[in-house]
Amino acid sequence: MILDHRGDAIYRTAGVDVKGPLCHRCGNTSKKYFYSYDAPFDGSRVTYCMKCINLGRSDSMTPLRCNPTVRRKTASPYTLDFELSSQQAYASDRIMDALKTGRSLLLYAVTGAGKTEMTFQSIEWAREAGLNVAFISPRIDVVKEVHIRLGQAFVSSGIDLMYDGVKQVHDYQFTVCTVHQLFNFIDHFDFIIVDETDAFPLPEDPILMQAIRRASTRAATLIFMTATPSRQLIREVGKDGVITLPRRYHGHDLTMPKMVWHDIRRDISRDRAPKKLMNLIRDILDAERFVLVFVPEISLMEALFKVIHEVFPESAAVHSGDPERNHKVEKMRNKEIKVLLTTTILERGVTFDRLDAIIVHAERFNMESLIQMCGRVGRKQTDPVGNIWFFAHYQTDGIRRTFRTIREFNAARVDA
Amino acid sequence: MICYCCHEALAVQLDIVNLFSKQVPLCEKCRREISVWRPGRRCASCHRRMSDEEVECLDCLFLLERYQPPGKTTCLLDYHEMNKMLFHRYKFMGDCALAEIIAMFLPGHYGEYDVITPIPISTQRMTERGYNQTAMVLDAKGIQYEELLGTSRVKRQSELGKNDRSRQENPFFISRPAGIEGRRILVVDDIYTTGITVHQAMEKLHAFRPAAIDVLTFSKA
Repeated sequence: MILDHRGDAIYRTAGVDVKGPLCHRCGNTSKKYFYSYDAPFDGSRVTYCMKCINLGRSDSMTPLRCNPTVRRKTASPYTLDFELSSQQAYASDRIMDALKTGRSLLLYAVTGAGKTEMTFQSIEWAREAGLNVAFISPRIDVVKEVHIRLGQAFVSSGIDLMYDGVKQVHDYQFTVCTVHQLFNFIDHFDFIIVDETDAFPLPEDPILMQAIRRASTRAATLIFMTATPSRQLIREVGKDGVITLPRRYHGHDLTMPKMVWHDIRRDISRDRAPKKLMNLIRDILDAERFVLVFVPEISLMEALFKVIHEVFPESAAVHSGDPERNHKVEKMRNKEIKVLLTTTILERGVTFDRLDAIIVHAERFNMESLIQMCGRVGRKQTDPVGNIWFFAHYQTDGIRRTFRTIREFNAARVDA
Repeated sequence: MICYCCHEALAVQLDIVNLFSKQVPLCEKCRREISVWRPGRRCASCHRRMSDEEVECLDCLFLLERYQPPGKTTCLLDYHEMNKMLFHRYKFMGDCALAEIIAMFLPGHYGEYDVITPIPISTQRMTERGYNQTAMVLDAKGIQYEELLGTSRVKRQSELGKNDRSRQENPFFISRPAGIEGRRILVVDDIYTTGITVHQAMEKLHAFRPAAIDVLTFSKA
C-alpha cells in the first residue's frame, strides 16, 4: 500500500505511537526525533516525528491514510542506441535470472561499467509481468540523472520521479526516487534497484535499510549496485549473490593514481600558493583538459579557491550547500569552467569529457570515496584513460587499499 | 538532543559558560546560516531589498497611498533560501518545533509597548494547522500577548498577488476593542511580503485610537 494523506483507507489511527515512541511511517523509535507540544487549538498534547517531517507530518492525532497497491501489466519497451558489452550482457542476464527466481544480487562493478543499462532488460520484463519497479539511490543527483536516462530509454513509459520537494507521479508502478521516499510504501515494490548503495546516508542509517525492506514485497528482488560494497552487504546477499564486473564498458583499464607527497594545508596556512599543485593544474590546462579538484573540507576549499582563482580565472568551487551548484556543474559541462574545486558531492554520478582529477589531502578520505573520485576519470569512449593525482601528507590504509583495489580490478578477467 | 533545523545530533560540551544555562536545540552552523543577511541596499522602513533604479521603496509608496504607516518596522531574519525552507516547514508542513528556533531570534524585552498582538488566523486555518504560527513563536519565547484581532480570511495570502491582496476587503475585525485606546501596540506578523496584511490589521486598530503602532515581523520576503 501507499501512504498518502489523501488516501481512501486508514492504515493506522495515528501516525505516531506516543508510548514507545514509534513513528508508523518511518519506523523511527529514537526519542530525540519526536517533538511534543500542546496544541493551542484544543489544548491536546501532540507528538510528531521530526525524522520524516519532509514527507508531511506524521503525528499522534492524525490517522495515517493509505491507498492500496495496484499492479498492472504494461508493455514497456526500451531502446538503446548501442550494444551492451559482453560483460554488461552477462550482468543483464544474471539480473534477469535473479528477478525470475526472486533472489537478491549485489552488482560489484567498477565506476563507469554502465550499470544502469544492465537493468533495462529486467525492468522491461518486470513491467510486462505487472511487477512494480523502483530505481532508488541515496543521492538526489543520481536520482535525477537516472530518471533522465531511463526516460530516454523507456520512451513510452511514465516514470515517477520523487525526491525532496519534487513529486512527478504517474501511478507508482515505475518509480525513480531517493531512499527516503520509500517511507510511504509498504509491501509495494516487487523489483527494487538500489544504485550507489554505499553512499551516505544509507550505510549509516539502519532505518533507511528497513525502509527498503518494508517497501518491498516478501518475494521481491533487490539489486544492490555499488563500486565499493561493505562486508555487511556482501554477507547479506551471500557469496553467490555477488557479481563482479571488473571492466569499464569501453574495456579500458581503470586509471592508476599517481602519488604526490605534499602538505597543501601547510602552504595555505602560510599564505603561499602550493607550487606543485599550481604547476600541475597549469600542465593540465595546457594539454587542453579539465580537472576536478577534490578537497576534504569546505573551509580549506574556500582558501584554496582564492589562490587558484587568482591564477586560473576559469575556475569555480562547489559544495553541497551552494545554491549555484547545478549551474556551476553545467558550466563545467559546457567547458566554460576548466578547474572545478569540489567536496565529496561530485564524487558520484557526474561525467565530464577530457577530465583529470586531483585529490587534495587524499589521506583524509576513505577508500570508498577515493575509488569513486578516481571513477570520474576516463568515463568517455573518446577519452578512456585520463590522469589522477593524489596529494597526500602521509600514507593511509585508505590510499593503500585504493591502489590495491584498482590493481585487482585491472588484473581481473571478465568471467563472462 | 538534536538541532531542530538540520536534525543533526548536537554535541554537548559542558563548560563553565553553559553549565547552568538551558541547551538550545540549534546547531552553530544552522544559527549562522539563518542569521545571514544578503548584501544589498534595503528600504529603511520595510527592509525590502531594492533594485538599483528604485529611489524610494515602491512597496512602501504603494502602501502610503492607501494606509497609515506604522511607527517602525522591525524585521528579524532575511528571507533567503534557508529561511524560506524554514518557514515553509514551520507553516505548511507542521514542523512546529521550529517555533522554538524562530523564537531564539526574538528580542527579549518589549518595555516600550503596552500590548503585543499577533496577526490572527481564521478558524478554518486554525482547525487545519492547529496553531497560529505567529502566536506560537511568542509563546515559545514566553512573551505575553493579547489577541486584539480576529480574521475572516480563508484564502491563503501566499496564493495571491499584490494587486489581488490590496483589492480584497479588509478581512480583520477587532475582537477586543477595550484594550486599544491610548495604548502603544506592537503588531507581530510571521512574514511580511507586500505589507498589506499588517497594514489592513493596523487600519482596524487605528479606528480605536491607539497611542502608537509598531510592527515586528520574523522575516521579510
